[in-house]
Amino acid sequence: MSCAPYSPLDYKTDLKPVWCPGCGDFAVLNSVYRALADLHCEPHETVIVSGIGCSSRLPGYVETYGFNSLHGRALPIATGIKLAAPKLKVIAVGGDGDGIAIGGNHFIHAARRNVDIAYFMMDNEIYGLTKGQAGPTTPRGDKTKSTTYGNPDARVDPCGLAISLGSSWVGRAFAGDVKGTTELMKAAASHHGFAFLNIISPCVTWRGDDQIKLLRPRVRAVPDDHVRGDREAALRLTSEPEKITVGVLFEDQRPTLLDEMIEIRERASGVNMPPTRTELLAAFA
Amino acid sequence: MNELTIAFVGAGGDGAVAAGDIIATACAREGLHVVKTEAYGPQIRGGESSAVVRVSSAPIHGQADRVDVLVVFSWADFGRFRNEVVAADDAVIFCERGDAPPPELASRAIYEVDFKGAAKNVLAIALVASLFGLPLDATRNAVEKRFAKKKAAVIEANLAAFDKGIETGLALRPSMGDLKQLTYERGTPRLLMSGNEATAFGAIHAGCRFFAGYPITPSSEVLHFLGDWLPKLRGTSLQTEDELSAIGAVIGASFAGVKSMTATSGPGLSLMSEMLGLASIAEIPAVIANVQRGGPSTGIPTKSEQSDLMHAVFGSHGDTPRVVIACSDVEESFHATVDAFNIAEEFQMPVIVLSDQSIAQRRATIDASSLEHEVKERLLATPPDLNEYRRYRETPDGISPMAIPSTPGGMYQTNGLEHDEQGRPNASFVMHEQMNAKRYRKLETIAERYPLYRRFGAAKPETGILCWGSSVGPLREAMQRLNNPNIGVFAPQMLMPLPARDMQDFIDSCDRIVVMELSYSEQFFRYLRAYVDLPRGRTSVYKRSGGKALTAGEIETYLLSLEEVTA
Repeated sequence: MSCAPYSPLDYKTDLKPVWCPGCGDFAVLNSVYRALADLHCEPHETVIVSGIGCSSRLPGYVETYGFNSLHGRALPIATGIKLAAPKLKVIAVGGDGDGIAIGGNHFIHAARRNVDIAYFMMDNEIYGLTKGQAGPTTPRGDKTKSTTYGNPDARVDPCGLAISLGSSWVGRAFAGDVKGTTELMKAAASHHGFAFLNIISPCVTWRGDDQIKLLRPRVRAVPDDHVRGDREAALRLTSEPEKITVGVLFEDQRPTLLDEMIEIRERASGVNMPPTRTELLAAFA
Repeated sequence: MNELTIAFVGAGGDGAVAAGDIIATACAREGLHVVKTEAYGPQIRGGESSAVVRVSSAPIHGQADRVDVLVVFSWADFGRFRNEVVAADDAVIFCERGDAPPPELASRAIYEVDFKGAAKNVLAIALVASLFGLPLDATRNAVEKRFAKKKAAVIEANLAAFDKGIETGLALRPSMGDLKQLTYERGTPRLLMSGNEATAFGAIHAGCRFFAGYPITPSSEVLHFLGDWLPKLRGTSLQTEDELSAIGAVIGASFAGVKSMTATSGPGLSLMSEMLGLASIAEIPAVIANVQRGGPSTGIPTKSEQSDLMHAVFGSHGDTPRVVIACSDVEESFHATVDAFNIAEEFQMPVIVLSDQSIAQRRATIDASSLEHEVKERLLATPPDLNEYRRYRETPDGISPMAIPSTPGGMYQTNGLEHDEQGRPNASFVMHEQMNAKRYRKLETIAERYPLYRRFGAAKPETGILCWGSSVGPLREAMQRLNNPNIGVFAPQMLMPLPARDMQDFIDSCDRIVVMELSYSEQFFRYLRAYVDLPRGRTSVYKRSGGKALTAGEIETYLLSLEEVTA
């Protein structure tokens, strides 16, 4: 696309990522640059919001408005931004611990409200920044710094969770495939409503150097005949053991939170002028 | 008599609270001063309820200690309010015919009335209004207005009950002896508003167009009111999944350039504490209305206490500058909220408005003309600022121009991490010191520009009283009763930063200091000790736990006992 206003490099800041060499998040960041360029996103009309964790450092590396917030709280902040400034493109990013453990409650409600944002969850099956404790996506039985005798907890499938919660767009990507990840990011960011993209982004430091090699053979694409509006089929696809199914698992259209808010405003006062101060005070006379 | 206090007590469905509302509305329209409070049993629906209406021709600052007229639809329901609704020694009491009063009231002036029937509360209103000199026409109009949307038969039945009330009064009158009569001159109609409504109206006045909140007693009315009005003003009101999300959405909306607030009570403020730190370090305007209730934990959710003070002024991890403004009545709830927005926007930081249940849920008369307050705006980045923009640029007053997303050339990352002037994460202790100094510098400017406090009583007092929030009203009443020329009061409205210099001057000019508050652990007293010198051996504290707001009577008794000690 020679006529594209921005190249992927235009979105790069001079801040050097803190990530470990070989971290899947580098590939995710590259996909973000490409997706923003392909979508012709104006840097000043784009906001990337994150929580806390390795992956939540991402907004600092992208030349847009950014908000590196608190552990688990990216979604409420992104919700506030989108409702207050609807024309902004709002993307939330973070890790699996950030989004499903400490921020799990917000995940439920952002999905059910259908907030018009894209949410990229970089899933590394571990708490990396705090140096190697089990997280909600760590497989049961795995020995980590905090689970000396093996992880006693069942793991969560973020996509299955998102589909169950009523998320209106759910996809999975594999960081090892930059092109595929880019295309899924573009689809998520273009979706009208809450779009959840789970990105398998292996941690070389706490899950092992060979993670990416071990995971790659398990990756397979969503079958061509999959019906995207079929919630049950999507759940079956994401829950097959030993398979990492990448692609768009689920998609439907329903009013977003912003659509509802606009309709509420119309219901509240129709096409009338907003009430004056005197009209407001009449309620107390 | 230039004032009268009336209480209605009954079971759910008796309409005790509605009776209070109707009388309060009628008197407000006549230009009288009114304070109306309600109390309920623990049942969600039904159960016992009470309403106390105090009416006066002169300004009043809170609820009366004792009621002059008591209407009891059922003595069984009265039992729950025995400690809250106290009949004056010369009170006139009306109760249902054949319903035996409790022994302690048996010797009082009690008149039995046939309340039984659908509109017993309206009958009671007319009875009281006609016997005690309340505005009868205005009361009848208020009844009509209250039922205006009902079927004609309902309106007729209520007006018939009203007439029966007047007849009942005429029949009883010969047996009653002298009765107190409210004397007043009709004035300009006043508005009747609760503290929570005044807070919500203050927010709208200040330009707030985004609210997010989670229901919690006793602050939910702010959510209700703004949920109703903000959409009409093309704004947004969002009920979130919890308080973490509420303050998060507020910070997000404010980052995006819209004036935003949330409202909560103590347990919610606890959940918001981490985000308070975020708003402080990221320098994002945010207004939090915290309506205090009995605590800790679930405590006494429906009653007042002044025990969130320490949490409001200090509660945080890290060094977290924030502003805390107290309000002591309904009108101040409006002004404190507008000040909170002005300061939050001008200084780009979190501001807490500290109210409590007794102010927030009382309804009081207020002049529409008093609801004016200057509105200030955020310092936005201009083109020269955007040349190599530094969001957290060092400035003498600590305020850096803010670029709102969608401003070309203003892109930056805001951060809960310590950061440099550009907003980039920075873990150097030198930078941390520099940025803490920048953020705390804002409090110095605020202290100079907003030295908000009230002074009343003696200009050069021997006894100086330090008091805040909802305890100021009853103190004012007690002072009016005592009329002692040697007592003066200093009541800070700005709690953080405290107007410490003026307060110290006041303290130094007094022989003796009394600190007065509704907190078992003396939070206000302990807080003051951090910022002012209180004279050792000449300072005393009058305090108790919440659950019931301080009363003018108990303050009067305490101050009289001090005089005796002196004498």
